[in-house]
Amino acid sequence: MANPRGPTRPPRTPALLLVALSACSGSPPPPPLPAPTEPAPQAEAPRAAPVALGLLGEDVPFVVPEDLSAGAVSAFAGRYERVALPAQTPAILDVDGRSERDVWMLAGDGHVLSWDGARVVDRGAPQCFTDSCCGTLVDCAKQPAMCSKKAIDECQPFGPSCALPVTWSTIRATPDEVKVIALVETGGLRASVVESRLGKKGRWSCYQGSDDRVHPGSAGRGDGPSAREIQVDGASIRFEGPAFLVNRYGGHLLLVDGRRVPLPDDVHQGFTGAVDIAARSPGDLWLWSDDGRVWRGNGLSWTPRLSGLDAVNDLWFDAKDAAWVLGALGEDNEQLLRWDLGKGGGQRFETPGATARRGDGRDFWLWGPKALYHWDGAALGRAVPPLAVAHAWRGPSGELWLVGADISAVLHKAVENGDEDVRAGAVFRVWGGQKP
Amino acid sequence: MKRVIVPLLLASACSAAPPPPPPPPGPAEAHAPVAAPEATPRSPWLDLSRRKDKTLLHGHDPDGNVLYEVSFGVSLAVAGAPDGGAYAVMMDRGHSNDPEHVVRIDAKGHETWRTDFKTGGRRWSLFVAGDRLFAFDLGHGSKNHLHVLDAANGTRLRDLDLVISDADGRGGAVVIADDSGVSRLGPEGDPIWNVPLRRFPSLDPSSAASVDRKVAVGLDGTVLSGASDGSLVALDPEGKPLYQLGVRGAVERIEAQAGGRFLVHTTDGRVSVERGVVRENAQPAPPEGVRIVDTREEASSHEAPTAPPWRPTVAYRVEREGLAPDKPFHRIQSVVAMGPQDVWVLGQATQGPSDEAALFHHDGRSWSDLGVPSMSFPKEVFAEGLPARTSRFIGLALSRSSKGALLVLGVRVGGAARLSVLERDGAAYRERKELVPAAAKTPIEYGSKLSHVASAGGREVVCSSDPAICIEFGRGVTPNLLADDEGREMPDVPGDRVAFAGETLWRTNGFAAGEADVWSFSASALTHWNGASFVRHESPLKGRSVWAGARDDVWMAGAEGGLARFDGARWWRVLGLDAQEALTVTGSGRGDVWVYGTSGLWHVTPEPRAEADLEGTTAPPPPPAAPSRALPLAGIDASYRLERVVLDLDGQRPLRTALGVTEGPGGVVWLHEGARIIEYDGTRARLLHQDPKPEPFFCWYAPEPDCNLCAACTERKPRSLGCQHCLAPTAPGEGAALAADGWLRLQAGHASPEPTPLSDLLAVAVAPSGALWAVSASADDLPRAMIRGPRGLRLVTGLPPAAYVDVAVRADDDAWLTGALTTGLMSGRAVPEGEGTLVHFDGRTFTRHRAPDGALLSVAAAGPSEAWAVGLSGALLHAKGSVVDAFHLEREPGARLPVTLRAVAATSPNDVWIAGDSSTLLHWDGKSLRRVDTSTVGQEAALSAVIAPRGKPGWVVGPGGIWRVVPVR
Repeated sequence: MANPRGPTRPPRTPALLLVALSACSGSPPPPPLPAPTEPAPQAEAPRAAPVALGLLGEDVPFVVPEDLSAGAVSAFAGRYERVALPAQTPAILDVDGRSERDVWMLAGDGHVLSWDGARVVDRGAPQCFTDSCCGTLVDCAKQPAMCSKKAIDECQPFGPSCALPVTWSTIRATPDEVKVIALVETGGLRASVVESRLGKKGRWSCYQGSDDRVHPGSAGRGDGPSAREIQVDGASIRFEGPAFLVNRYGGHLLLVDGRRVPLPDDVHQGFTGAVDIAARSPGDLWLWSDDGRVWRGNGLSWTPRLSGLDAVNDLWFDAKDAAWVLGALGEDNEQLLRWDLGKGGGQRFETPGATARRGDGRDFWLWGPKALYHWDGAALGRAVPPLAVAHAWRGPSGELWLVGADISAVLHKAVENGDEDVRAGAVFRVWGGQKP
Repeated sequence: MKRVIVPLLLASACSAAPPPPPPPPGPAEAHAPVAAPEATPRSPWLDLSRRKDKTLLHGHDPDGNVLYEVSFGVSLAVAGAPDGGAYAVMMDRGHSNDPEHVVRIDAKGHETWRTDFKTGGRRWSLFVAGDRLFAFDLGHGSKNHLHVLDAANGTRLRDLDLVISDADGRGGAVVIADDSGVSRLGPEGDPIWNVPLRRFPSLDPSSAASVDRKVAVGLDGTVLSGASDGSLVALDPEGKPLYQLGVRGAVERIEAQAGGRFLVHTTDGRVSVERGVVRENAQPAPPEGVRIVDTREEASSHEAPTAPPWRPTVAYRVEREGLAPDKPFHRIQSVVAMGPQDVWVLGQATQGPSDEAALFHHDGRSWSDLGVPSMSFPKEVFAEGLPARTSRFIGLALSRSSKGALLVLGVRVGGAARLSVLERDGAAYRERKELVPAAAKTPIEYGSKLSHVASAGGREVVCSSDPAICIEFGRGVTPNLLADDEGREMPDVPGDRVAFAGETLWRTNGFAAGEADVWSFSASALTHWNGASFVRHESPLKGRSVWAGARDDVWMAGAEGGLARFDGARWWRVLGLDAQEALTVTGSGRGDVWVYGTSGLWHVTPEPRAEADLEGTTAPPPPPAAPSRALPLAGIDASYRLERVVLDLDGQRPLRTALGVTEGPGGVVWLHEGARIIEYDGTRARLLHQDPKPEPFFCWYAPEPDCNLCAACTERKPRSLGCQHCLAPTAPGEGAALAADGWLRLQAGHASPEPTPLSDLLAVAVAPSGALWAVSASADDLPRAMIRGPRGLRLVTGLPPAAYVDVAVRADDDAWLTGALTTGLMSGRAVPEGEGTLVHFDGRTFTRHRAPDGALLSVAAAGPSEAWAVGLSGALLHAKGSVVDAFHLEREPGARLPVTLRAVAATSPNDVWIAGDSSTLLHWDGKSLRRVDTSTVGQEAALSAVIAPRGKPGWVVGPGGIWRVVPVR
């Protein structure tokens, strides 16, 4: 007949009550009464003892600052290997790959380059044109006059309808296709998306993107919500952003196995910046926004978590029960946080210049235009990359491809004020330790 | 006497409940003498009135004789001086750049001093404390200013910047409130004391950002503070805590009242609070002292008549209509009900960008889509002054001709827009040509509303709203524009539409059934012409449309949603349409009513299975609850372990996680994961229901006049599942469930949606009688519970208003309902906020108990009149009879464990199971509360439902998995 409040002094109860208590089992003895309060030492009327009301006291903050120790950053011990490019190749803008023997790059002059494991080959420069008004793809086969060199040279943005060449910004290599993508801004309410895909015969073909370019007066439907899909622990997680039709509508939506999981109200309403999600299980969900906020959810509710950062760019996990957060505390003050989810605490690494990640919790790279860091599973190393990094791609083996501009080699000096020098392209393969 | 005491003691002692806490804090027994204001039974008083653009201040002696009259430009605040004079903050003209002045008026009405402020706001408060005048300039958002002045001469002694949400002063005590607590100020404006206060715990982590704390000083010096979650804390004049309470709604204002009472204004109404005793339906009673009677705003507030009561009823069934159950109609423009088997609708079958409405027909069983009403017109002159040209028809409304044919009212568009009426002839249309010459003369504006009436004698009138014209045509009538004064009018009723009462044309917005039976409505009343006189009936809702099946069957649809039925004597509130936008009502006759608007179409028919309300008596509000006491966790209960299970389903992905689990008769177990409901009979699992795949979310450009960037979007689906206790199996394959889109009835293993009269139903439970009890957390003023019994549906009245999230029914006269006093909104769902509440129904009376630690989320009946409830911040409530004990969990002695407890189950008073966040699974065995090892669950998992093991393994589930609770042998 234990007392749920622990051992107590013998109750001072009337005998009748003792009889009553002993008449059944499973019931606890009466609780200890609070010690009588001393009468107030004053002449006026005695005052009741202060009452311990539940609403007294400071609000217990949901957000508890993490007590993080300073993480050590050592010198990077990896190896760089320069990849030879065709002569006169300008800065590389983007890179993507399907394997270490099938890597694709987009150069600043619109040429697409591919690496086959031995050398880099020029796959041509896809050329597409859109009208100057609205970014609508021009079919040059049907309108050859619009696509003549003279007409194109004379074409000006916002002028009478004519054809402007598309400037590519992105390259994507999927198992099914290779394509370059451009976002064509013509000063209207919405940008147009144009793609060029590489055919089996090595020819590039132009396509209008799915953006329906809604303008006032039309009855278009805008873009549906984009979504991130995650599979974890047998559950399918879908995180949808807002729909776009000039403005953003609908906030965010999170589905776990088809069930809508309530989101933090700001995220639900769409009052935050860009929000992304990571999940350790359907019952351990993480959200972060580019304004520095982080929430952890158990599938039913969310708890804000203080990052101490002004911006969070990425969040991921490792197998050691830790969450990693890459963000920034002000300009040029990027930081990497490691939160130990089991024991609490963690480390805070100074990672100036690191704005993006490639890899996973076991082994990852952080990079920025002038920065490169590598976590090898035990320590974080820092290096100064031998190029101005525009993009990075990590192969299945863990090797990193850095593409961008040669810091020292200028192909063409700027001619007019406002122009920039055209720098030579540069590509490096990097290994964290020994080359595999 | 002893013969009585012994059984009582036995009963009390045998209850295996934890020990009771100390008695609740009593009323304020004694107060510090330092600040208690002096009572002044007869005092001078002031009144403020308005004359043109001036504010008049009159000073009165205690007998009411006018001492003086002073005229201000604009008065921003007034405080009475003990001598009968006044202090005031005023502006000369009220222009935004005008400076404010604080002035002293003596008992003869003379201004004795004036102090200027150049940068003040428009909201001030003034309080006199001894020889100081505290002038709070509160018109700057969160940043405000306090000016401390010498009350004798107006000298500015001190200016302070403050971040406060409210201030009050009385009897020499001046207090301020901010989000973090309450402070009393000394003569220099510095705090004498500060008491930090918080809100009740909340499910919404962002709720702490909206405290908006209010404060008032009572005549006895008691300080009462309230916050946006309805929390109230009373302090004595020295800042010592007296009691805490919860009231329903966000506290908007607290007024000191006579006799030491407070009048607390909330978003839900107002209550009086006096020494911890709450009285509802309180009336203001200004306190003695230098009272100020402000009549400046009274004229407008007196104009609104009192709306008559309208009692909720389930006597009518409201069903949303569409081409399919999951494809409801949208943007319904018009309905003509010629008979129960002959209903015509103009509207849209789907949401999306479309500016043309289609025609649909209902034959009493199903709907058919008849396409967009159209016909080809020859190239002809249809608009006067323009050459002959082609045109197309856009349908805007439906009507019925005097011969009973369906008419489509619309416009012909082609370089111009002119009124046109098509008559449906078989499957084709023909234009009512006789109208063309008259219509050709008047252009129709975009957005004009069209209407049409026909008399039995063959006269017809078609009207447009912009321009406001009517054309009469029909049998024996040469089409002509009606003069504005043609037709009878109702008094005080807009005459923007027409109706035929017999052959008499009425200019009215209403409905006519005969020469002596015409109904119309204004903003607040229904008016009936009975052939001899106009009879006015105040209406309970702001009307938009009226239709009558008979004199005792009058229906009014609201401009802001809602549907009312008037039976000639009383108003009835037909449930299910309250949350809609502007609605229009029509019908074919008694028992066949149609309601429509931009959000859809509903068919309203008598509910044959409606039962009389279950009417309980509401017990008075309870006194303040005692603070909860710690209930220690006594280690691990090694008698049980958890085993993870995955339920395989034929042809379906297996069930790995669940939010809810409920055991029904015969041991059948239902589980739901949000989108699916699964039944497990002990050997195999089968799917009972799966939510349909939601429509994609998209937006479209929806231009409105003067809006070039407006858009409309589909509803983003699926909806969140808000229910706390969603499943109620009554037999294998039978029962009910709450799904994301509402109530599901399960029969023979199949689920079908059913309309419910109440919204935001968050729990359903089965009574031993087989009746299904469901409770609501809605913020509206409807009943909060309903019962679907074997004979039909009944509402539960008398239940104290609250946001109910769970119900446990041990017998029809032993039911428990739990939640919190206030309804919050989180991610679009209703959630309980504020003080927790537990209500017991003994078959006659609803008795409410307070939970001092915030919202309760789950309740289980442990024995006769005995229950356990659990909730936020590790709160537990044990109730046995009328004795209620509040407990909280502790992480370690003295350190509270603020874990959210989401579920409780009990097989007896000595076998209670509790589940919650942070992988919490607890077992009360009558002796101690112990943890069950949940290491297999993970550290931070939420456990949302539990079934106690009883001779066979129990269940505990959450978004991270499903586990059996297995006894360790």
